[in-house]
Amino acid sequence: MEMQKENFKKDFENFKKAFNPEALSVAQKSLTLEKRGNVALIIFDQFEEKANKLSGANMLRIFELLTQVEDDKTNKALVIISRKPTIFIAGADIGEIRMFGKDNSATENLMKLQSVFTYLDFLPIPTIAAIHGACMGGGTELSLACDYRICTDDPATKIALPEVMLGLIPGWGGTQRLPKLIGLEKSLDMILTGKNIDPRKAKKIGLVDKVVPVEFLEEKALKWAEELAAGKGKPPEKKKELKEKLLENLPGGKWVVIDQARKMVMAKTNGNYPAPLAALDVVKETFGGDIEKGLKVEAQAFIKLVTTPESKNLIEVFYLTERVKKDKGVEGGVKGRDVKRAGVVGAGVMGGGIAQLFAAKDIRVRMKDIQWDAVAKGYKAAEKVFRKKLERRKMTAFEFENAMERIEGTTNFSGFKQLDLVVEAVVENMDVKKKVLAEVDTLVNADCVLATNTSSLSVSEMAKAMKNPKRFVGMHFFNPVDKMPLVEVIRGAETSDEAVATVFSLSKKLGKTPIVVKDSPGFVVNRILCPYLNEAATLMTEGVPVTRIDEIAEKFGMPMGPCALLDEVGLDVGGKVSKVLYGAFGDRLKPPAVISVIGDTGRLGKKTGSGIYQYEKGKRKEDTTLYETLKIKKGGTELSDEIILKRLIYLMINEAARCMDEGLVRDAADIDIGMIFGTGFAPFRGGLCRYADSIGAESVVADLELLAKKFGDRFAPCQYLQQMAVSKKKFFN
Amino acid sequence: MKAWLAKDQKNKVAVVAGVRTPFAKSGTKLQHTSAVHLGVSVARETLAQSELKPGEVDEIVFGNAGTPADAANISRVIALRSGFPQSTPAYTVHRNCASAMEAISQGCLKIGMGLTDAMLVGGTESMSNMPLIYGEEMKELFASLNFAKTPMEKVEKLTHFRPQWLKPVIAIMEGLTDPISGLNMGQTAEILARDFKISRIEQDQFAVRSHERTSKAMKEGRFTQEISPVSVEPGYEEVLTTDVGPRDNQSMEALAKLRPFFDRENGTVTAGNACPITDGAVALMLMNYDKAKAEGKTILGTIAAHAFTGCEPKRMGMGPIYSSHKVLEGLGMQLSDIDLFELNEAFAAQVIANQRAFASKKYCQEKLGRSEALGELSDDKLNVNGGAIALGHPVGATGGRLVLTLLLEMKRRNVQRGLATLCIGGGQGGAFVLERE
Repeated sequence: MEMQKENFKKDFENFKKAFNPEALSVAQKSLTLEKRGNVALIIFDQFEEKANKLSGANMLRIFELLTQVEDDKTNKALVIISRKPTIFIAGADIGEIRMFGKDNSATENLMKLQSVFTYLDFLPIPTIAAIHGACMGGGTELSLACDYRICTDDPATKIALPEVMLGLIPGWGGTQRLPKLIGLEKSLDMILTGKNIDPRKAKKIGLVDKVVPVEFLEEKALKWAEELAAGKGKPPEKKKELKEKLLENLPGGKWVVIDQARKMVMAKTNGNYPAPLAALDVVKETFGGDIEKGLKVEAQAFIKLVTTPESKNLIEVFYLTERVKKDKGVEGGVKGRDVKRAGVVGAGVMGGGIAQLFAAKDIRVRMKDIQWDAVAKGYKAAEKVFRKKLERRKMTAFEFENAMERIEGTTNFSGFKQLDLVVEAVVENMDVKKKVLAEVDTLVNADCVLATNTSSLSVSEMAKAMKNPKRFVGMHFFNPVDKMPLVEVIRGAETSDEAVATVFSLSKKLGKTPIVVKDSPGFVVNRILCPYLNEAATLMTEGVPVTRIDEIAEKFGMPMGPCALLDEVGLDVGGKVSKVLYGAFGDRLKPPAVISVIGDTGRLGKKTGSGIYQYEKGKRKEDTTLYETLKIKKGGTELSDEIILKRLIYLMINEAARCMDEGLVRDAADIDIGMIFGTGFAPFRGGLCRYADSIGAESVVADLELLAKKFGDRFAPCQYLQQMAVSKKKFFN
Repeated sequence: MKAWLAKDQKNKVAVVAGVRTPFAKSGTKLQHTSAVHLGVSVARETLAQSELKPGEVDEIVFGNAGTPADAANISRVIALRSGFPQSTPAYTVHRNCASAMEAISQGCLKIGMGLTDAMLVGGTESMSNMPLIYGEEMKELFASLNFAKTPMEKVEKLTHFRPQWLKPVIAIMEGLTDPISGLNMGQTAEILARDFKISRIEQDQFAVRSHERTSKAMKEGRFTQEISPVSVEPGYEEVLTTDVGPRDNQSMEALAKLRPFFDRENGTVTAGNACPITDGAVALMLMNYDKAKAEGKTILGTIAAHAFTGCEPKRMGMGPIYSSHKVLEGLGMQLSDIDLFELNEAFAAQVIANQRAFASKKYCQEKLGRSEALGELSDDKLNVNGGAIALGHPVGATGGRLVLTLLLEMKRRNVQRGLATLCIGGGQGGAFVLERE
C-alpha cells in the first residue's frame, strides 16, 4: 500500500497541471480541513454556489486534504460533512462529464479520479460520511468509500445513484462498493433505477448506519468518530436475509439475480437504454471480485457510455428540466401571485384530479359543480390518488385526512371571493365554458387569476365572455392529472404576464413541468401529436396490423404505441381534438374515418373496456376480429418498418416546424419539453426537435417529399423545414 | 347567575352564517364518518359563506360530548383541518346536550366584551363512534402485563384472565345515564310522563307530528339552506345531502307496536317517541354586529339574551322552562313577545311536560316564583319544522341546530323574535332569544 500511495501523490501532482489554476483555487476555498480533538473534519461548502459538486478540481482538493489527514498522525478518525442547507453532494459536475469522452486518455483520467475514493477507502483511520440533504451520484460514491455513514432524518435527505437517468453508470466505484455494502439485489435496484432512498429506507437496507436529527448531525458524527478512534462504537454487521445469502453465495445464484434484473430492464426500456444494461454487465463481471480490477471495468464501461448519443441526449433532457426550474414563464421581472386558496369549477374526474394536486401541495381548494353527485365523483377521484399513496406508505393516515379535508366541495360559489386562482374544468364545450367563466368572472375578487383547463378550445375566444380577460389564462393538464407531468400554460391574446407567471409558478409548485404556449388550435403538444395518431389510423385503414404499428413506435422509444394511446385518451376525446384541428388546419390534419367508425360502436377505448384493443381488468389485448368487423383487409406487408416509422414520426417533425414558424413557443427546447413530458416522447432521443437535428433537416425534407409523392400531400414539408434544409439550420443551434 | 343580555354588552353579537351537516341516525350513512370530519365540513363551509378570511376569525369553539380518543381538543383539530391559521386558538366545551349552545355563549361573552370580533362556534358529535370501554378487571390485566418483566410472569398474569372481562362498557349508555340519580335519560322522561299524566297515545301523536312536520320541511326544501352536504368517510363514495331518520310515513299503528324501552311494565316512553342517537355537526359564524354591518355581511340575526339554569337531575327534561323564564325575566319580556319557538325534542313526554308547565299558573308559581303562568307554547309556533324525534339529537351539535333552524324560519316567516331552548342531561336548561331587524 505504501508504494502505491507515493505513486498516487506523484500522479496527482502531474494530473493537477491539467487543471485551470482558478478552478483549483476555488476548490481550495470550497473544501477545508479542520480538527476537532483527534478527529479530522473535512468541510465541503462550495464557494459562492448553492450546490456542492464533485468537479475534477474538487476531487483533487479532496485528495490533497486526505493526504494531509493521513500525514498528521494525531488524526485518529475522519468525518466528511457539508455546510449546505439541503445538499450533501449533488454529484459530479455534469458540464465536465459532457467533455469527458472527448479525451483519448479518458479512461485513464477517470481512473485517477476513482483512485481518490480508493485512497479514502484505504485510509488507515475510521472514516465517516455525515450526510444531510441530497446525496447524489458521486456524493453517494464518496460516502460508500467511507467506513461508515450517518445521515439526518430530514425530508431533504435522499441518497441515490441517478447516473442511469443521464445514460451513464456510477463511475467512481459505485458499482463496486454498493453491492458489497447492501447486497446484489438492493444495489441493483438503486443503480438500475436511480431512485431516491429516504433516510428510513437507507437505514433499513444498510446504506447508512445511523439516522439522527439534523441539529445534532455534526455533534453525533464527531462523537461517534471519537468512539471509533478508541476502538469502540462499531455498528454490528448487518445480517443478510436468507434469500439474499442463498442467491449470492450459491453457485449460479448471482446469475439468477442479474438475469431477473435484465428482464426487468428490457421490459421497461425495450433495450433502448444502454446504461442499465452496461451496469448489469459490469456488476456481473466484477461482483465478488477484486476491487481494483472492478474499478477498471467500471471506468471502461463508463467512458463507453459517455460517448453514446443516448447519454448525450439524456444529459440534454436534464438541462431542459434545469431550465424549467429557473424559468419564470415570462420575460422581465413580473411576478405571479402566490396561490394559497384555489377553486376548481367542474368536479368529476378532471376537476377532482386537479383538486387532488392542490390538496397534496397544501393549497386549499373549493371544488364546485352543479350537482352533489358530480362533487362526489371529484372527491372520489382525489381520494383514489391519495389512497394509493396511503397504501404505498407514501403518506400517513393523518396526512391522508389532512389532505382530503383541504378539498371543499360546494354546489354554489360560496367562498370564491377569497380565492387566489380558479381553474375552470367543465366539459369541453365553448358555449358552456364561456357561460361558466362569465359567471365566475363576476363572482371572484378583482385580483383572482382565472384559468381554463382545455385541451383544444381557444383561450382568446373564451376570454371574450369576460369583463377582465387580462387575468385569464389557459392551464392545460394532461390526463391522468396526477401522473402526467406536463402543463401547457396558454397565453391568450389579452392574457397578462402576471396571469402567465402565476400559473407557471403554480404548475411547478404542483410538481408539474410547464411550458408557455401561444393560443392556437390544439396548442402545441396535441397539435404535434395529432398527425401521428391520424397516421396510425391511416395505417390501420391500409391494413397494417395494430400491433405492428404499435411495436414499431415502441421500439423507437415511445412509451406506448399510437393505437394504444388513442385507446388510453379515449376515441371520443381524441376525436374531438382532431376535429378542432381539422377545422383549423384543413386536409393535412383530416382525421381518418376509422377512428369515428370504431368510436360510434361505443368502443371508446380503455374506459369502456374496448376500443382499438380489448381490455380485461385494465390489461390490453389484441382484438383479433377488429379488422374483420371494420371490413379492412389485413396487409401493408410491402411497407417496411422504416417507412412506417417515418410516416409516424416525420409528420410530427413537420408539424413541430410549423409551430416554430408560427412562433407558438420561444424555441425548440419548449417543444421538446412538451413532447417528452406530455407524450413520453423517447427521452433518450433528446426530444422530437433534437431527434430531427440528429437526422438533419435536409434528409427529413427529402424523405417527406418522397412520402408526399407516395402517400399524399399531408407529408409535404412545410416552408420552415425546407428553409432549414436549404440553410442547413437546426432546431437547436 | 344572571342571564347574558345584549343590552349590557359593549358590542352586539350577530350571526352572519351557519350550516349543519345532514343529521343521520347512528349506525347509518355517517357511521364511519368521524366527529372531526363532520366538524370540518361545517366549519369550512360556514367560513366560506361568511366570506371572511381564515385569519379574520379570532377563535374557534366547538361543543362535543363524546370526546374522540384521537381528538381530545376536537375544536383545535377541526380548526387546523379546516384551514384556519395555526395562530388562531381553539377550545372545546362540554355542557352535555347544550354543548353547542355553550359554544355560542362563549362567542357571546367574548364578542360582547370586545375580546374578539369574529368567532366560529358550533358543535359536532358522532354517536356512532362512541367508544366501547374495557371494564376495570381487563384494564388491570393490561396494566399488569405491561409491568411484567419476564415472559413467564406474563403467562402467569394471563392465567388470571376470565372471558367475561371482555364484555365492554358501552360509553354511550354510560353517558346517557345520570350519575347523580342513577337514572337513564329515558327514565327521567318517564317521571315527567307521570308528573304530568302524559299518556302513551299523546306521546305517540307528538312523535308522528314531529315526523310529519320534518318530512314536509324536507320536501319543501326548507332545510336546503342550512344543510351543508358531507362527503362520507371512509371511501368518499358519496356526498350525503339529506337527513337520515325522518319518516314521511310514520304512523300511530307503527308506533303502537313498540315496547316501552325504559320501563317495560308500566312505561310510556318508546324508541319511537324519543329522539334517536344521531351523528351530525353544526357551525355558526358570530361577529361583532357593528363590524359585520360595516363589512356588509348578511346578518341572519342577533343574539338578544341567553341563560343557563340548573334543575333536578331526575327531572332534567324540565330544563327549558327554567332557562326560558330566566332569559325572559332578564329581557323584561313576556312569552307573548316571542314569535317562534324551538324546544328540543329529547322525548315527546318532556316537550309536552314543558308545554303544560309553561301554561300552568301553579307550576310557575311554585317552581319559578312567578305570579302568573309563563304562557302558551302553542303548537303552531313550536317546532314548526319538526324536531329531534324525527331528525335526531347529536348531543354536542343540537343546540346549534336549534339556533340555526330558528333564525332561518324567523326569516321565512318574517317575524322578529324567537326562542331556542333545550333540556340538558344532568339537570340543566339553556335558552337563547334571537332577534331579526
